[in-house]
Amino acid sequence: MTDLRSDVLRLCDAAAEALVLFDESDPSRVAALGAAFSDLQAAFGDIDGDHPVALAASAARAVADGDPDALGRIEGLFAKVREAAEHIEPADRASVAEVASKPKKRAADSPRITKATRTAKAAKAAKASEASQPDASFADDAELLHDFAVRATEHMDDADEFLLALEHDPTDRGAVDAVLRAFHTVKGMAGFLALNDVRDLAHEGEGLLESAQGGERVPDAETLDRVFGMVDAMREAIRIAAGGAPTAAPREGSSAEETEPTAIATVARETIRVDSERLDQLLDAIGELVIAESMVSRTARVEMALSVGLGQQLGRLDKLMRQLHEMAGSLRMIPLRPTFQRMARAARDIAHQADKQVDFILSGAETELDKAVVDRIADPLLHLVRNAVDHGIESARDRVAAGKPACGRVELRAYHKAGSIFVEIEDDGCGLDPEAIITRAREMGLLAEDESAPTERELLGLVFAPGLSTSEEVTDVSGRGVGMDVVKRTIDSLGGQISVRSESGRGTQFIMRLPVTLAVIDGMVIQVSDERYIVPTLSVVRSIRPEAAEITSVFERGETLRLGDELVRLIKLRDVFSLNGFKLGVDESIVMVVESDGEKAGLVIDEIVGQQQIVIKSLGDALGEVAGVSGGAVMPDGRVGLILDVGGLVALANRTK
Amino acid sequence: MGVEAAVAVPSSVLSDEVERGGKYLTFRLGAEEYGVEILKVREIIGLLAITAVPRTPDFVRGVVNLRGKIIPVLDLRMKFGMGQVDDTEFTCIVVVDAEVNGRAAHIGVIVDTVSEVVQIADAEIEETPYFGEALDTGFILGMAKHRSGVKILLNIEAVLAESGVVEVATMAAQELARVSESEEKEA
Repeated sequence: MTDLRSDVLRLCDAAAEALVLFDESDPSRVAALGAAFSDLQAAFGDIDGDHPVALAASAARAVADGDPDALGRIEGLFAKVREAAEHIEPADRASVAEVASKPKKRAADSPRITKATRTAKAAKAAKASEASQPDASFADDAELLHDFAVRATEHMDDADEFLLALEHDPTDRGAVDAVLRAFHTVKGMAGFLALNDVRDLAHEGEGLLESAQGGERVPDAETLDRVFGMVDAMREAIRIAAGGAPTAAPREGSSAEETEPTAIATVARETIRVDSERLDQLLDAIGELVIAESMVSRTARVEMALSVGLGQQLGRLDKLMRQLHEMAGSLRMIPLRPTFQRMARAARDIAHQADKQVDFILSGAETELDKAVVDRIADPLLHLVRNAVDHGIESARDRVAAGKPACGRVELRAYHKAGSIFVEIEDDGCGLDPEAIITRAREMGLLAEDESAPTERELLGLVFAPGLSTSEEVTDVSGRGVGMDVVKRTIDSLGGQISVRSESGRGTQFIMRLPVTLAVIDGMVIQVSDERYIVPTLSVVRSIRPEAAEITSVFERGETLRLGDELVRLIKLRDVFSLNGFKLGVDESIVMVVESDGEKAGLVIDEIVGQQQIVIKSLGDALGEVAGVSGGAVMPDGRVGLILDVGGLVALANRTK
Repeated sequence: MGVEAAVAVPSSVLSDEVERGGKYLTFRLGAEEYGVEILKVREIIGLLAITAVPRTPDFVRGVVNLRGKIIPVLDLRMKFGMGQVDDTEFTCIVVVDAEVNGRAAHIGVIVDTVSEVVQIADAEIEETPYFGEALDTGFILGMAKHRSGVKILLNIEAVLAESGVVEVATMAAQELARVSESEEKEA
């Protein structure tokens, strides 16, 4: 049933598109319109002759026969056609009742809406022909559009809610503002995506309420009706925009055929909005459940000396818990792709405005992150992209003069490493200008006049100082009030880090290291002295019990282990963490060889206790970051185990000696 | 009486002082009796297994698992420079709801023993006497002359913020900076 419904909706979208693109002077368009509606009729199966779908199909045939008025009839019928399509599988869609009831309620207003829709459609038709040479890098705009449709629909839901409030109390200026905000936001988003029909509708909607904004006029019932109608028209236009585009693109290439069904499936996919606090409570409860379960099974295994039946049951329970936990963890995870695509889009527009040639390359867009993190990094990312394209990449002429290819290159990458997500943006532009930064920092008093030139590291750190902008000209794409300091603050507040590398004339690279919150990792539990720690299994290369002959010391302190033809330096956790307790000789200990950032080191430990899945938790805001420790986890016995940060440890050991 | 009080206390002090009277949870550190506003106390738990966190100041006892959340635990004795004693069966952790660095955080503080909840009237509270530079009294709200004895009322957020946990975070940040610097040198 669901398949039938999504098929029908897809055909409905195709019909809407055929309607929008209709051009009586182009026979192929005329034929497409007829075909779209007869397909739709076929999908509905056995229906009466006066069913709106049947009427629309016969009108489409009349259009093909040269009846100019029939087009108007189709447009008039279209809302009912879609309504019928929506009704195919009502159980699947909680909002059907709402959607279906509204057009009826506002029926008196429908001629006006149709007119508005038609004007907008004309605009869209014009736009569509303009956009018929799709940009190769935006071949999969479908996801972008889907993202837009979801957000825009949410805004329309908000608008509905506040409009209802306005009906009860027309003097509620907060509600007026909220509705206007919803229209305005959607207008902005649609404008950004060049969905001119949606944008125009939103603009019209704004116009209807604007007089009420200042409070001079209280909106009357008629105005509200019209705004309600506008919201419905917007929903419709949003759906068409999201559903129409992916079917338009595939004509260009054969590979798109595969993407088409998935794109449409994406559009049709239902989502449920859940209060994130409730979700977090659920995840916390599941986390605790996992701990409780593992405590029970540990005790049971020890005390019962494992009867076969119990062992099997425990194993099953364990597996289920793990599944549940994984599912719970993935609830909050979303891929970076829509965000990345927005960046690609922004980069393209900025490049156009700045008249620059930029090749924008995305990689790792499938990397998943906690939704909260994805939402929060969108603005900083946009700022960095803008900087890279607007300020980083030089004009084609300058580039050629500098011996670089005329087309600049900006790369946006995401990848998973050492339990963190890294997002990098790299350009091959002019790089940061050290002189400009120093001059600006001196002007702002961040650097004393007589102070010697800052080290490269200090210099790059200054980039994140508030108010430090070395850009000589403020263009309309820059200066939205988000500075590099805000970028840094946002990343910091997420518990991430941002750093920058730059080489004059060669380019700039920003590297963000972001936490994967709620992440579950595999960890090795190790024992040193009386303490237990967890090492992420991903960072472990191997563990060995070394022979005395394999260990060489330098100046009787720094010790290295010979591992095949490699020399690996040893880090004694006992010393680095100043632990007490009985000291084993190095040759009695176990060396766990770990790797971070391509660098190997050997952790000298007493024992490997075991391996288990752990939920990474922060040690609490109050404690902040602790060197060498990336977080904590609740161990099966309920105690807290500290998770070692291998990269941090290596650095720490370097300092301690 | 009211007039006399107004004369005795300079108005400048009155104007920026909030109402200090109210319910306080009192606890002991050695022979001394302290109090924290009951509204700041989330719960009192017995001593749990504490995991020491390396490279933190000595007054940070470590972290514990509070029903799935990891919270830091501070030793108030060490924090106040009072010298260490062994834990007893009365030793417990008072979990406070504090705002540190603008973020709400749960922090556990270890006390020798929890005494009672008392109602202290504003009139019973006196300004902290000056003990000279050797004794920092910045996080003392005041001294309450209660019938059961004198209680030292703590501004627990100031205790946690002032040169306290915040410093740990700052230290950690500096550490990180150095760490990445040395990483860079290596590279």
